[in-house]
Amino acid sequence: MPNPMHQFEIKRLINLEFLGLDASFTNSSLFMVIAIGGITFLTIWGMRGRALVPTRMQSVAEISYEFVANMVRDNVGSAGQKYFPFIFSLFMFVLFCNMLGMTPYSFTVTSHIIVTFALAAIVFIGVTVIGFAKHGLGFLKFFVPSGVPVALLPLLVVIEVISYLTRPVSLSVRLFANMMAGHTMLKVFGAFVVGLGLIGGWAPLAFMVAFTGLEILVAFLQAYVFAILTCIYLNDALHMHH
Amino acid sequence: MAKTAKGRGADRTRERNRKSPAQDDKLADFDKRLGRAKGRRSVTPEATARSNAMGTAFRISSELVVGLFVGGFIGWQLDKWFDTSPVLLLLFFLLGAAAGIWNVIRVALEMQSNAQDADGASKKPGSEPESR
Amino acid sequence: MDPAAAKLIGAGLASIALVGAGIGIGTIFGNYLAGALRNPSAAPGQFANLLLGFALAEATGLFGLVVALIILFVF
Repeated sequence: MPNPMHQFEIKRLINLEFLGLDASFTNSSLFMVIAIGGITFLTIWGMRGRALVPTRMQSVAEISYEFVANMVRDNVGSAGQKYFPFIFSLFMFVLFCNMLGMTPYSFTVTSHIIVTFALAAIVFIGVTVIGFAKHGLGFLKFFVPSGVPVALLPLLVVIEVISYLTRPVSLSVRLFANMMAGHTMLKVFGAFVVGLGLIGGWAPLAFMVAFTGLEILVAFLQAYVFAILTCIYLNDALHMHH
Repeated sequence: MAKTAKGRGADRTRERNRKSPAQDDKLADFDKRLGRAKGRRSVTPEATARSNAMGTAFRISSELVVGLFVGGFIGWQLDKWFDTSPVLLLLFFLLGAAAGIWNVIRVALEMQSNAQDADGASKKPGSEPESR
Repeated sequence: MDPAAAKLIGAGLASIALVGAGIGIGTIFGNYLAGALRNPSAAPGQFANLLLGFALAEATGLFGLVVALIILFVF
């Protein structure tokens, strides 16, 4: 049976070096470029016509814009409007990377923990810096829950700090685990279909069809959860109430 | 009093925006097409609610597990730094578990208050509140 | 038996305690849902008890996990 983990291997396409570190252009980089190209094509070419009654592509661009704008407005409020470009880029990048992974013979960029951790670290560090920039050292009051007897306070502050530190890890691990587990399942059941052949291959094939549909839903949902949690963390930093 | 440039510009805009009969027809046609397109929409509010619930489920499950791991990892690193026996590992594992459970409780309370807000806003006397 | 192997087997056995946590959490949420479907207006009032029951059920399971860690790292 073919190895289901081979799809996650990084292959160097163009060997490059930067200051002694390996900075090759890999298949992961290629698919990131394809995702960015797709997003740019959708937004710029789609909005080229600027018709009042939108064409299909313009409609998709407008719907995605409106979706993220509503998400930002509902979760962060008016103070978050200036962070909209970042959240839109984040959402579209994760969405396109996830969806590109559903095409055959492709590589899922977000199935590597380093990619998702880099994105989550940017969000976490960015939000913390925004919190300190806006509230100064008063941001540390975020970790002190209100209405608590003073004796319990040290313990609760430590628990609050630990729960704050779980944010980037949970953001990255959620996306990584879902993408990796989903694609591994797809490969394993695909091997079953081929292995059982014409006689028995219909049952795993039916399951594969349903599961591929589920994976497409999960791809969209994971991008949505990533973006909405970024909005919630941003809201926590800007308006400091739990 | 002579009109300022701004006043004259506003007049010209009003002239342009005054609807001609041809424009009225186009807008009515647009309304009809919009109505037909909206009827074809496949995203029901029930489907949105289900995917929102699924998103919250992903969130809650990962928060609980990650709390344990982060607590354990912090404890392990502090142990290596202070060279103590694994007492710090166990202590921070428990604190991490508490943090994970606290995160889950916070999400559940938020979900609960959202559900209560939605019930209050709908104000339909006969409908049942959504049990999540 | 090699003590290192015995440690690993002991840690694995101690983790079986999480089965209890799973059953406990499922029972408590299932009963909450059954009650909420029968009497929806009373459901929000019991929500705090639901979270308390969840935390306690999870805690007992985690005690088993702590025992597993103690076996692995202290002995």
